Amino acid sequence: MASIRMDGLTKAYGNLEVIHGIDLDIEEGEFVALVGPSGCGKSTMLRMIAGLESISRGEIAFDGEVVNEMTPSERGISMVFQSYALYPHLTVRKNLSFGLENLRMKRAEIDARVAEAARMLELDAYLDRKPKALSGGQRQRVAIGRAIVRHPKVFLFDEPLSNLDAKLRVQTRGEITRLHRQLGTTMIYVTHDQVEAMTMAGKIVVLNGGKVEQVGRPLDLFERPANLFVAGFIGSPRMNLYDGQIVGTEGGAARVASPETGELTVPLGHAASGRAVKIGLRPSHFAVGAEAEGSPLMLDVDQVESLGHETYLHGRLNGAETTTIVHVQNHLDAAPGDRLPVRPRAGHVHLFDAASGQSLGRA
Amino acid sequence: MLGFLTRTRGKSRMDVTDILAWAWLILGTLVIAIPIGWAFLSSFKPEAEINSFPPTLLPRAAEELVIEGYDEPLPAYLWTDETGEARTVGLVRRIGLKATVVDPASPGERLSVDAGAIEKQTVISAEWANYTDPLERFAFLTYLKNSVFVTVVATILTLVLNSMAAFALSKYRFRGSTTIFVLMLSTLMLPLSVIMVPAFMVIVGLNLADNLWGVIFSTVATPTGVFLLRQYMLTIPDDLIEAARVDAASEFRIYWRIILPLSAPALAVLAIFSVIWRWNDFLWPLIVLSSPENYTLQLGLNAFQGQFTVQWHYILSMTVVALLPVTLIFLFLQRYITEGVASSGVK
Amino acid sequence: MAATDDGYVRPAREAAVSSGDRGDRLLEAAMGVVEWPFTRLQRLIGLRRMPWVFVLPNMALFTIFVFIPVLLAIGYAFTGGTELLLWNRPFVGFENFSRLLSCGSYLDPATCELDLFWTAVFNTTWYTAFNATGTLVVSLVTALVLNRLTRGKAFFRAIFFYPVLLSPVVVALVWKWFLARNGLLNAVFADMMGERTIFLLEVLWSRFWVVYVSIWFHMGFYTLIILAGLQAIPRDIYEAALIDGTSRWRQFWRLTLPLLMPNLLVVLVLLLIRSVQVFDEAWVLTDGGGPGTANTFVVQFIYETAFATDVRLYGLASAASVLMGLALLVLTLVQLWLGKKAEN
Ligand SMILES: Nc1ncnc2c1ncn2[C@@H]1O[C@H](COP(=O)(O)OP(=O)(O)OP(=O)(O)O)[C@@H](O)[C@H]1O
Ligand SMILES: [Mg+2]
Repeated sequence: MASIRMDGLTKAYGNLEVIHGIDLDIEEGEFVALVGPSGCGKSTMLRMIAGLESISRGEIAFDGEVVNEMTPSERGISMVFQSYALYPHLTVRKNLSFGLENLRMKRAEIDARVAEAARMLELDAYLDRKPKALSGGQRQRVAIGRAIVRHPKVFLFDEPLSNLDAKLRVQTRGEITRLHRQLGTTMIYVTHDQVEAMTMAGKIVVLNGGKVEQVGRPLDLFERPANLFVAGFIGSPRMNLYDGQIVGTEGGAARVASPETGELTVPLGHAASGRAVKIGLRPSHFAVGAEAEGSPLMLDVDQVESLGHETYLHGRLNGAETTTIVHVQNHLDAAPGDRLPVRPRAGHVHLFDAASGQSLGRA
Repeated sequence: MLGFLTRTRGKSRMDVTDILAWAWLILGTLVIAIPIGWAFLSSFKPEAEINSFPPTLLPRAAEELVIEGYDEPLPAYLWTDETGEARTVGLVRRIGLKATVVDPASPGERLSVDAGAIEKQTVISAEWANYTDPLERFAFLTYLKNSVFVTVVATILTLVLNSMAAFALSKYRFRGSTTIFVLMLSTLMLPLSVIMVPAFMVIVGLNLADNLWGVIFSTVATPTGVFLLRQYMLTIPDDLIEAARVDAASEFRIYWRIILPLSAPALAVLAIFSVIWRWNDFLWPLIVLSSPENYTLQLGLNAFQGQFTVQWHYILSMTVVALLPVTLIFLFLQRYITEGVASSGVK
Repeated sequence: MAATDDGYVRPAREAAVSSGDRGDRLLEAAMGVVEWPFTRLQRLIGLRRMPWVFVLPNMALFTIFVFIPVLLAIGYAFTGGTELLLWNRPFVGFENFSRLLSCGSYLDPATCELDLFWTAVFNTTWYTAFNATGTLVVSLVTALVLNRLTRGKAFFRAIFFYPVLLSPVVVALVWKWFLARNGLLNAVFADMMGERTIFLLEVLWSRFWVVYVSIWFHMGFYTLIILAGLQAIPRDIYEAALIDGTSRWRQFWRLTLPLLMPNLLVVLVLLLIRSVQVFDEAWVLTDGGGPGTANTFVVQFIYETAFATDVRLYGLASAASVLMGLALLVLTLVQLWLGKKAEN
């Protein structure tokens, strides 16, 4: 177990800088997810932590000790690769023991650790098989097992679930979480799937274009996105965003307006009238139908996705062009062409500065 | 056979092109097989047979009869007497037009007959002495040993050195790697015949002239081998190497525990080719090796056929010895070889 | 011995496994010894310089035995005398080249100062012309025939390829025996013509057989390459042609040949490059280029000038090498150019 500190971490390939000075603290035993769109530098950052990629500038320290020049094995990390990278010519048993043999560990100790990992991941039956003879899920577990046997200070995962089918992905998600509880080791988990990040991590780091957009607990990111990028990235379906303007301030409140939402009054202290803003409303933060009786906002329904226990409505607010998605718990009787009253839930209206994208707050 | 012949292109009827195609195949097969088969069969003929004309197809030797009262076996002849009856007899001696023969049925009785009435009898037999004599009486055992030594050592060194270089050139990006690779590739087309003299000077300068090591060392750093292995190693995912690094494996351990086992198919192809190349090498050993005790089989064979032009029974037997290993390798591994050639253009 | 390498007890397979494991462990121990210096070195110089350690042995041998000779080759061509070591040899400028190139008429070797060299050049030229076209045609036909086969393809491919693997000496001797006075061919020939011919002692016959043997020897290799080219032509093109009702003959001229052309050109240049270097099998077959100088080729001239005479004229041989090298360079560049063009 180790705490990790990154200071101005930068990576450049020649003149091309892909990671731009990242500062980040990871506590001992924490489960941190690195999320972000494809190509944002998640893997690069993870590989720098692993010691597989050289550090152009800045520092990485484990427990206060700078590890920039250390090899992966000296850092005491272990890593689960997206491709699993199992040694195809070795049996599962040998795959698990290879790293321990490299450390010249005693045979008995190696056997004990392999047995322990096999038991934990229910791999006993496959120990003498080659990776070719395993299913995707089993390979995945071997890859995790190979990381476990080394008793690392830090676990690194690079999109370990992306090669599994949906059902297995949910199941393995649970297993990794359980593993984290059991071992208590610091884990850094790269994914571009925000659901994985939200359900597994204690802390999420949102990366975009080689920069950190926001760090926080999953719910914090959902409820208080620091900027437009995070607002759009976290939450599914995406937050609805509308171009708006502050039309007036009265005391501690501001009136914002957009073609879609009409005029809304939000408690906002420091806002100049006339400022261009983005108004964000999450699909699940609408009251619909009977609940919204009397609301001046009307939704023209274009499409209805009914999943039985929940319903998604795609439509247009107030006759505007932009599509709005509304999420309703339970079943809702609606059909394309319907016109339904909706009302944004109080306290769930997000405001962002249109120019900088920074959050102006939530009301 | 007919069914096999007609089963072209999934059509039931043979047309003219099919017939021509099969004629070509069969003719080609004969053209290739006959000279080799002829040499092979001839290599078992005794000296007397090999020089007789017209030749017989199969190796034959004079039939001999063991007859009571004669210490040595007598050559067998078929004697047709005046009545037209034919009998097998042993020839005791022949003087002018008369021959003295003895009938095995009555060993005590010698008959004097017309030399024209008897005809030599032969049986199909293999003259193994053709094979044992050159090995015992001439230096062919030494040549054979030298050839085996050069082939085995050069192949092992080729595999080790080429695979190490290919590993570095395929799995690392380091300054100079492209330069090295291009340098090697550019000499791929450069034949020995262009650099014979300076290459020999290097051999002399290193004191390796007339030394088997001179032949070995100058052939092991083949660009072809490096190229072939590198292309294969490029298909091994880099993730495996990084996983091994995370697993605390040293670079050397990555090389021999991960890369080498995974490159086994390419290594096998290179090993096969290397064995064939080194076994067949001619011009370079001819330049480097000067004393007969250092000759390889190919050199020894060439020197022997130049010196003893009439000893075809020995020349042919040793020719068979020289083509045997390659033939065996081909029989068992032909799929690897033809596919290796087709995919890499290596020869 | 019940516990295996992994310490697990597997009684059922005990015997088989433990003996294999002993080999494993022995190998492991042996490799441990080899590994130690490498691991030390890695600790000393760091991971980033390790690739150099891996290429170094191969590079060293390559430099000494290939690269340095290439650099020296030019140097030799400009020196004279009979000393082998380059630094002991006097510089003579272009003398070797001017000797090689001084001719009364380039069309008549007899008028040249080194008539043997020019004879060799002429011989090599006609050999190259006949051998390259002959091999190309035979290989192409064989490849086309093989490509049609649905059954037995591997078998015939193997038959045709087999001679490629033989050594030049073996090939020469097999044919020498076949063509000998007492050989099989004469047995047939004598029947038809009434008398035996010593094929390799007659100028025209010997030249014919040198080319014939060479085609016999190498055609399998080129067949494989052309066959690979044929197999790379997508099948659906032919299916489309079939639906269009194109005749087979037209298919060949309008589809196969144009699509195969880049491949064939590369093969042709490769053939030219290899033909120019003819030596081994022809030299043994003709007892050193005979009858007379009817089959003396350039490489033989170089070899004999440098190594097989009492006065070893390394400079002259190298000058000839350089000239041949230039010819090969041109051909190689043509090949690279063709290869590039074929890729596009
Ligand atoms: N060797 C390299 N040379 C130059 N640029 C590189 C190199 N490796 C990666 N990059 C660039 O660095 C950026 C970050 O790549 P990285 O692999 O870290 O993305 P990622 O966030 O893991 O994406 P994904 O979700 O698709 O895996 C990308 O824009 C990529 O093009
Ligand atoms: Mg990635």
